[in-house]
Formats: sequence, C-alpha cells, structure tokens
Amino acid sequence: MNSLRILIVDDSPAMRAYVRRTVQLASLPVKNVFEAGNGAEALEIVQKENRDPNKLDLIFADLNMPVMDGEQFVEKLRQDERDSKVPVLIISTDATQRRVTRLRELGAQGYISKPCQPEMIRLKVQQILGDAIESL
Amino acid sequence: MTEELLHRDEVMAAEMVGAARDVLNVMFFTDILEEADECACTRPLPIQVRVTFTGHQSGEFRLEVDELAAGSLAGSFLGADPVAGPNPEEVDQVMGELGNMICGAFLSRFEKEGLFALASPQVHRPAHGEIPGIHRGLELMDGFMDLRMCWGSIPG
Repeated sequence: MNSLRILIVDDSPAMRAYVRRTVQLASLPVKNVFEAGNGAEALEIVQKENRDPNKLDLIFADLNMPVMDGEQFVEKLRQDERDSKVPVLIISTDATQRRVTRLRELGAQGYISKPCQPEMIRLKVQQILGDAIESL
Repeated sequence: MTEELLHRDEVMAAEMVGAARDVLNVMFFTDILEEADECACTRPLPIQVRVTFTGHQSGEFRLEVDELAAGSLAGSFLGADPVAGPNPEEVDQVMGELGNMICGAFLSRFEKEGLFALASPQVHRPAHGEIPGIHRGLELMDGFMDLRMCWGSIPG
C-alpha cells in the first residue's frame, strides 16, 4: 500500500465534504478520494477501481440513502469475492444496538454514530487499517 | 392537556434540545445560549428543514433557522473560507445534514433496541406551515433556531 484510496458513500454532499476534510486534517496518507451518493453508485466505483492493482483501501458509508441504502450496499459488496475484503466503516445517525449488530453480521468493520468528532474518525481508521498505515 | 402529558412533553423537549446540543457541540463547534418555549425571533424563519422518519414510531422533525446562524453553522461544518463563506447551496446542504443529525440523535435516545429510518431531508425557503407536537426555540451564538417534532401523521 503506497497511500490510501478511499471511497465516501453518502447522499449528503455536506457530509461527504466533512468526511473528506476530516481525513485530510487527520494527516492520513490519502492518495485518492472517490465519492458516491448511494450504494448502487458505490458498487460501480468499487468494481471499477478494484480492477486497478492499487485497490480501494477503505470505504466510509452512510446508512440511510436513496436507491440502495448502506445495509444493502455492505451485503452486496460482501457477496462479490473480489471486492469482499475492502473494509467498510459506517458513519450514521442511527445508533441503535440492533442496527450495529446487524451491520457487524453483514461484514462492516466499524461503526461511528453521528455526531462524531474528527478524532473519532481518525482513531477508527487507524484501528481498521492498523499496520497498513504505520508502514506507509 | 393533563399534567402527565405536559410532563412527558417537557421531558421530550429537553431530550430534543439535548440531542441538538450534542450535535452542535461536536460537529459545529458551537453551543446553545438560551432556550425557550417559543423562538425569540421574527417568524417565519427563512430556512426550514423537514425530516420524516419511520420505524417503531413515525413522524416528522422540523428545524427552522435564520440566515445568519445557517451561514455560520455551514461555514464551521465545512471549514469554509471565513471571508467568502459557504454559498447558498452549501448552506442548504449543511442545514439538511444538521436536521438529519439532530433528528437521528434524538430518536436514538428512545430507540436503543429498535430500528428507524430517516428520509432524505427536504429544505424549504422560506419556512411554511406549522406542525403540532413538541417545540423549542434556541438562541445560538449567531442567530436563532427552532426545533419541532411531531409523531404520527402530519395534518394538512
């Protein structure tokens, strides 16, 4: 991994901008930031980008989105063997325990409930990517 | 309205303000200066955000805000240039996200074991129509904000 390639999936342009800025301010070694407004758009980007030798390293995803929501997106993503290993970090206002449990079962690696401080996002990214970041 | 219902509404209104304070503190780096039963501002406010929700209970949340507060909040959220500030489209997008976050944070306080879904926020300029239910008026550092929550179907 030379530097991070991340995908931000959220129907709110404001929230996508917030995550992008947070990632940049956290001094994470980000090379490319891709954005999608829903799960269906995100799947297209994942399938396209994962043909590249430098695959996506991390996906930030919202839950409540039109067309394809965050749960459906994670479920579809995990069905494709080639794309199934990309970690997904959910950022959502829906902080119910049942939702968190369901997302874990589907294969999401982390969950952050909004409101969330930028520091929380940075910590979760480091937790998920761990050694991969330190070796950059 | 019975005393029990009045007490319940007061508790819910306090939780709604608590959720708003959490969101404003953590993601917008600002706070609530004053709160009251009615907004100490000239109505109607120019920006209104509507968020409908479904789940164990369904209903609608409304946030209304003045231009000054909206611009300041959006600038803070986006890290916008302090001189140029955010453009009107960005202000509306951030206000939509603010409404979404306050509604979600509020519902999460009561739906720990349940599931709920929020529809995409709808932004209206100017605010129009009022809904029954609980409401609180807030004075922020740069303006005013009004919060309303109604459970069940919205009349009219």
